[in-house]
Amino acid sequence: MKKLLIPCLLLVSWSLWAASAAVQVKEASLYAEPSATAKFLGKLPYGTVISILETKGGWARVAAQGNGLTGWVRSLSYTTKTLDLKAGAQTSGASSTEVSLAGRGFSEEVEQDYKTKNPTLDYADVDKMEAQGIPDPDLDGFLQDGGLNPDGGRP
Amino acid sequence: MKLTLLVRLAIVSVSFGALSLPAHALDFGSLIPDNKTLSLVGRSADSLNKANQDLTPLQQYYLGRAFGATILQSRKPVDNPDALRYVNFLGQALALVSDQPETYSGYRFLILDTPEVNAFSGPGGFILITKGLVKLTHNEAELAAVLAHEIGHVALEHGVKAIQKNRLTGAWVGIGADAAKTLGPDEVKQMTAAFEGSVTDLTTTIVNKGYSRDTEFEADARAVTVLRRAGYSPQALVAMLQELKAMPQGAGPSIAKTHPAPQDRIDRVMKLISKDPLVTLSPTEVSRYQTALGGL
Repeated sequence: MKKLLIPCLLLVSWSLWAASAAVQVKEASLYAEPSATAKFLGKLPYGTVISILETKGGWARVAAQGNGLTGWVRSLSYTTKTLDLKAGAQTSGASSTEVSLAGRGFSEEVEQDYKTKNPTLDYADVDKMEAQGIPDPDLDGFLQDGGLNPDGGRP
Repeated sequence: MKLTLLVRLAIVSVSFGALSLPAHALDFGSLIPDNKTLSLVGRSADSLNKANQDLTPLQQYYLGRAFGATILQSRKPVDNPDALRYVNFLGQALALVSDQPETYSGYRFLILDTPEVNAFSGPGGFILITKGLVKLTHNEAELAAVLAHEIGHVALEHGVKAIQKNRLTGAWVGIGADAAKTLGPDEVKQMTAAFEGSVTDLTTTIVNKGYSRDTEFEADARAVTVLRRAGYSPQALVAMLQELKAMPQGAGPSIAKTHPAPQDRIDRVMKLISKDPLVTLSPTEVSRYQTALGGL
């Protein structure tokens, strides 16, 4: 019984993973429809495991694993390469996808080391620059105020 | 807002699970048939050759931050919150309609307090534009044209492509061989050296040498697309290029040193936009541009 159970479990996990992806940006915006003008539902943080339910244009309807929250995210905001991560790790381990998703490669640790070695770099202003993020719904507002349509062309 | 927080809380545990995957992931190797293992070996070798293209959004983000920190050593941001906010509204809205609307932490724009006329775009969407260039624009559409061109460079990953391939492959191979463990001090040093070299390649190409002519034409073509989608006249790009053409030559380091002759770019862009109708700017667009940038 035990002998059968383990391969079965492995196969089940494999098929679950085959349909899954991971958020590869800091925060992926989740919308009710495949459009940046649709109702904004929230953010999915980096590394969130999602299932791809449907794709349309540059968008995908996804379900976040764990809580099952669903909505549309841009296809660019996730990667399906986590699958390679498992398989590739067994071979030479040279894929950069694997390196980075495993928390390797250029990281906060590397940035810290780089900063220490180069103390004249102005990271303080870069941090201020990064803090200038404007939420998508406000950008929609900006486009619409100017008579622009975020889905292309003037209305 | 409440929902965002809930989503975050609900997902924290999932994220941790996902990030700790690699160690367990090794177990799945036994499920891969032999022929697949062979093809995976082949793919890994292939991925070394295009390591730069494979830089994930997170990797590009760290490069973009370092690129910005390097530029900001010698040039400071303008002390004008209204102008900085406006350029971010305009730039981020344009990025939203580009083919690459999402980078790791999103596009960010900064005006550098220098009369120099230039713009620099780092990987991941860290875009720095000089006050001299902003002041050369007459309206929102022309500023949009400048920002859309820079967004084009980011979307096409021109910065990343300027990094010498051996910078990354060396570190990737040396350290990537044992994927499950965390970096030791020597490995961090090795990775930092690769990082440092990559940032040098970025600044050398973007600030000193400039991209190739074709690369600039490609970014212009992307700018035309973004301007159309956002509802601005792509003619605004031609207007900007004419401004650059009219600039006196030899006025120190400038956009002229790192870009093809404006007339060549105008000729190429004109071919793309011959059928585009002219769009009049709305009163809101006219007034917000003046309000935000009037004090610059």
